[in-house]
Amino acid sequence: MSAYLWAKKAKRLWYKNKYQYRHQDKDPLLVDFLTHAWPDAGQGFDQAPLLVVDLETTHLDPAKGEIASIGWVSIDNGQVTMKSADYYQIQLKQGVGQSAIYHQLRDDELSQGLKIIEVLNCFLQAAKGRVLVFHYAQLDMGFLNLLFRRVYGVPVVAPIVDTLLLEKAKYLHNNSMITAGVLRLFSCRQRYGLPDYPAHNALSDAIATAELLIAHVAHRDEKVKLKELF
Amino acid sequence: MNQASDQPEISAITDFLSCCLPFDQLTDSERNKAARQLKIAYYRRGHIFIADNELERGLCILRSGAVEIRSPDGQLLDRLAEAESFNITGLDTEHPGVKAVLIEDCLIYNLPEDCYQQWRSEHRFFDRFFHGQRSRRLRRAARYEPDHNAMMRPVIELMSCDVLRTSVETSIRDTAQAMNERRVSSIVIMSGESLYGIVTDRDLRSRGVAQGIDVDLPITNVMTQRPYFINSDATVFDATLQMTQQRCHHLPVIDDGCLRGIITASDLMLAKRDDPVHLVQHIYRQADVGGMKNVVSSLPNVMQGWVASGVRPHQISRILTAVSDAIARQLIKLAIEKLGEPPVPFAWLGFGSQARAEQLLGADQDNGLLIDNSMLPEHKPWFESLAHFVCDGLDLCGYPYCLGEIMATTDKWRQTLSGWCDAVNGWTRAPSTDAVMRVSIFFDIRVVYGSESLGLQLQQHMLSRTKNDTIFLAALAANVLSHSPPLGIFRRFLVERSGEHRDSFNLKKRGVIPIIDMVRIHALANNIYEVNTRERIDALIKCKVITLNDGRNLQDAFNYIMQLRLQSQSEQIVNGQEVDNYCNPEDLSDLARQHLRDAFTIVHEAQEAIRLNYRSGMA
Repeated sequence: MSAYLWAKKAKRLWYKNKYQYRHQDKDPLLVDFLTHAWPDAGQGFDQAPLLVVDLETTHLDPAKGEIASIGWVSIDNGQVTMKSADYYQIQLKQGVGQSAIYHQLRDDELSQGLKIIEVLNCFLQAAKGRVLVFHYAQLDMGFLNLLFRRVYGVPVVAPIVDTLLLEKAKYLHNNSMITAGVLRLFSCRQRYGLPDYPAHNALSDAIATAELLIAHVAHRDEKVKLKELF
Repeated sequence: MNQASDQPEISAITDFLSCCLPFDQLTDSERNKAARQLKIAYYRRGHIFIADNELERGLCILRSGAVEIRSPDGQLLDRLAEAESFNITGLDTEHPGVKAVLIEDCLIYNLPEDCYQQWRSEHRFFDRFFHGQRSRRLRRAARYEPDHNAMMRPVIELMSCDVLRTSVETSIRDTAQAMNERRVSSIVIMSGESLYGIVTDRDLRSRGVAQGIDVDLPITNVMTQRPYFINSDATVFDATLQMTQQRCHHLPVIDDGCLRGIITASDLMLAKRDDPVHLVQHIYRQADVGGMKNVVSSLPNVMQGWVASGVRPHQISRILTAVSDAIARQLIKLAIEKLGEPPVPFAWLGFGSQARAEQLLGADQDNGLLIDNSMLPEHKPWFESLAHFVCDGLDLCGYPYCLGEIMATTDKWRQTLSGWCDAVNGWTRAPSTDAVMRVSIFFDIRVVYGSESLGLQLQQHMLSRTKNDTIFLAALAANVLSHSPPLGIFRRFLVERSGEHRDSFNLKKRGVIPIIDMVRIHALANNIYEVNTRERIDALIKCKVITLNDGRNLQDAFNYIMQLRLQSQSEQIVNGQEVDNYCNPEDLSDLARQHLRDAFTIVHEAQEAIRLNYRSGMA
C-alpha cells in the first residue's frame, strides 16, 4: 500500500472515531462515507472508481466566500459515466458579488437553490469509496473542508488527484518554465486536442476535468496505476 | 432555473449532440436522456476498434479526432471526423473483420449497445439513418473491391489462347522468323498433340546466337525440354509465385495434358492495374486516344488508393506527372505515325506543375513547342498539326485546355529557339506586372519529348537574363506577394464570403502557389536549373540563399499543404464529387487546423523575406 493512502486511512479512522464519539451515528451517510472501502493504490486506473468534482464559489478565499454551485461526474473503468453526472445550486447567505460576472448566476436564481445539507447528502453518497479529482484541488478542497467542518465537525478525508498538479509535473518535464495560463483547465485540454466547452458551469467544468484526466492517463506510455496519480 | 436534482441539464454534451446526425432530430428532453446514457473515453492515435472488444461496443460518436474504417485487408472504406459516428458491431455484421483505426487522438462519446439498439427500435428516423449510412459505406467499399482481388483472378482470364506452335523438325531460322512475324517472345514445340518444349527469346540468344550455332539445325537444339507449366484454374498469385521461384517468364497453361494457352510475366504485370509502373506501361501500349482515355479514367480511384495506403504527396504528384508525361509522349508518337517524321528537331515543353513534377488531378495542360532554328516556313503546318493533335488528345484524356492559352496550339507558345529567346528578352526588358503574372509559369520548364539540348539552351538563355535583372525580379516579387496566405488578424482563417465555395479557401491558390512562386524567384535570381520545388529548395539551401532551417520549414509547409490537398481530393473522389482545390477549415480537425495555420504562418514570413530582398525601397 502506498504511504499516501495509508496516511489517509489513518486520518480517516481518527476522524471517524472522533465523530462517532461525539455524535454517535447521528448521520449514517457520513459514517458510511468515512468507512466505505477505498480502491487499492496498486489498482489500475482503468478499474478504479473516481469522482471528478468542481465548485463555483463567490470568492477565492474560503473564509470570505461561499459555494454557489457544485457539479460532479464519476469515472469508472477508465470512462466518464454521464449517468452519474450531477449538478446543484446552493442557497446563498451572502450575495453573489463580483463572481456573478464569471458564473452567470444571479442572486434570484441562487436563492431558489437547495439547502446545503441536502446537497451534502447527495455528495456523500456519490463520493463514498471514490478517489476525488479536482483541477486545482487546493481551492475546492479549502471550501469543502470548511463546509464539512462547520456541518459535521470533520474535514473531507479522501484520496485526491489533482489534474493541475499532474499537468504541472508533465509540463515541467517537457518545458523549462511555466508561463501564465498554461495550467488553466482549457489550456491543458488544448494540449490533448480536446474540444472547447462553454466554460464556467460547475458540471461542464467537472466533465472537462474528467476528460482531461482520461486524456492525461492515455498519454502516459504504460498502464497507469492509481498510486502514480496521487 | 432550479434543476430537479435527478435530471441536471448537461448542456456541454447536449449542445454537441444537437450538431450530430441523427441526434439533432430528437427533442431537448430526449437529447438530455441520450446524453446521460453516454460514456466518455479517450483513445490515442493508432488505437484500433474491433467488434470483439466488449467495452468498445455501441455507437461511438467522435467528439474530437478522426477515424478510418478499414476492411480486414486494409482497404479504406470510410474516414470519419468530429460529430460523425460509427458502430463497430453493426459494421462487422456487414463486413466481417472490419476495424476502426484512430488516425488522431480521439475523444469518443460512447452510447452503449443496449441503449443504441433501444433508440433504433423506438425511433424510425434513428434506425433509418444508421441503416442508410451502412449501405452507403458498402457501396463505396464495393467500388474499390477489384484491386486486391486481382491476384486471385484465374490465369485463364489473362492467358493468351492463340499460342504460336511449331513442330520438332522446324529449323531455328524458321522458328525465329515465325516469332518475329507474330511479334511474340516465345513459341511452343509440339510433338503431336502434346507439349514437347518451349523456346523463348532468351533461349535463342543464349543457346543459339551466343554459341554461334548453325541456324539451319532443328529447333530442338535450343529449346527447353519439358518446361514448367500451370493448370488453368491456378490464380495469378500462383503463377507469379511459380515464375519467381523457377525464374522463368513464360508458363504454358495445360489441362489434362492438353495445351490451353500461355501466360507471360508481362500479362501478370498488366493484371496489377493499380501499380503506377504498369499504368504508365499500359499507356504506351495504346494505339489510339480512346484507349488512353480508358487507362486514365481509372486514375482517380487509383490515386485514392495511393493516398489511403500512405504514399507521400510528392511521390504521388511525381507519379501523376509521369502519367501525364506518358500520355503526351504517346500522343506525339501517334501524331508522328500519322504526320510523318518531324522535318527538323524539336522539343515538347511542359510548363508549370507538369515541369515541376507536381501535378495532381484536375490539372490543365500547360505546354509549348520549341523548334530548332533551322525550321523553314513550309515546315510550319507540320508543327501546327502536331500541336493540335496532342492538345486535343490531352483534353480528351482529362487534361482540359489551358484557359490562359498557354498551349502549343497558340502561335506565341510554338516557336523556334530564337523566337523563344526574343520573347524572354521582351518579358525581362519591360516587365509589366500583368505580363509577368501570365508568363511566370513559363520559367518552370521541362522537356517532355524530343531534344533535351534545345530545352537546355533555352533555359540557359532564360537564367542568364533573369539572374541579375533586379527590375524583372521586382516585378516577379510583386506577383508573388499578391497571393497571400488566408490568415487574418489573430491568425484566423480567411474564407470566401459567398459563391459556390463559401466558407472555404483555395488551398492551391492561397497555399501552394505562394510557395512555388517564392521558390521560383529565388531560383531565377540565383541561376538554379532545378524546377521541382523541393529540389529547388535543396539547391537554394546548398548555395546558401536561404538557411537550412527556413528551407526545411518551407518544405514542410509545402508538403503539409500538398498533403491536405491530396486528402481532400481523395475524399471528394470517395464521395463521388468533382475534384477541386477548395478546403473548408471547419472540416479539419483541430490539430490539422493548427498545422495548417503554422504552415500558412511560415509562408507569410517567407513572403516578408521576399519583400525585403527583391522589393526593398518599393511600395
